[in-house]
Amino acid sequence: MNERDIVNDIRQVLDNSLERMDADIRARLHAARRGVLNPARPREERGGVLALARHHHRLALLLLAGGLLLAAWLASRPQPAANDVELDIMLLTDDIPPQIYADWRLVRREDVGPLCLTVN
Amino acid sequence: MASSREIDAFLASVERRAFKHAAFAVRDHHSALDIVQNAMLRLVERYREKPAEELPLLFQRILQNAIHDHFRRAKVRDFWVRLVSPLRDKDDENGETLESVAVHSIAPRQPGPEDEIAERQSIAAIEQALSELPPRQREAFLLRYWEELDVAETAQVMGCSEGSVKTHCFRATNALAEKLKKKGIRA
Repeated sequence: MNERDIVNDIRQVLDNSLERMDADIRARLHAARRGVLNPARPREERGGVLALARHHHRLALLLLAGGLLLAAWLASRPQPAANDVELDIMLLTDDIPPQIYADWRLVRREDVGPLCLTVN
Repeated sequence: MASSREIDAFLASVERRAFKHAAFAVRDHHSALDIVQNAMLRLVERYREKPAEELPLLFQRILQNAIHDHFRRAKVRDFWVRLVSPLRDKDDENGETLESVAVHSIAPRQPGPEDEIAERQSIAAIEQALSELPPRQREAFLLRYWEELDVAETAQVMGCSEGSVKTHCFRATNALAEKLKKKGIRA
């Protein structure tokens, strides 16, 4: 038997084996093909942040990072102390001279007790 | 661009052969089904825009890549399993390849009616002989002689030279003839 005969005979046997393939496997192959060609369609999404995030991952990540940075910056900002508010009131009511405000670094605030300003 | 109907018809025409290709390689029906499904999915997702006449070659390349990916993943998985389970039986650690382990896991086929037994045995013997071929020889043989790709197309799918394809096919044919002769089977 030469090479061509062997090849032809093996090919014939392989083709026959396709016809004898288990029904279960054939059914599963069929189901796989159907699943690939007709995937369950996702529901139509309306616009919104979630839809945006789903379709534009990078943009959503960028926005999230920006938001976090903004929050961190706001949290790190020095909060106006109660004394500052009182100082502003006193300035407005002319209880203290405006120069104090202009030369802010010279103002030393006491945290204990009522507002007490000392000018160096 | 291939229409959905063309893709469906194409996949229907190749799915059984594709399953056989994968089953010869991995020797496990569940894994073979997964491989075929993944190959179908990749074809539809990535190459839907291609003309219908390009699909056969593309699908063969995808299928062969999916089979190689399967072995790559299995190798990595096996490495970690061996790493974390040093107390396994010695039988599991005697250096057997995944393919040789898988061959023992195939359940024997149920015998059919009397008049079909002989043919089933021939099919089983040939499939066994094909499974025992080195992977590249089997790949070349099946693509060249079963899928009837020409040498250049086979080389393209396998990612090797045409000379290598010819060599693989020659060796595969000789090896198959030898194996079948030993089993007393005329293919």
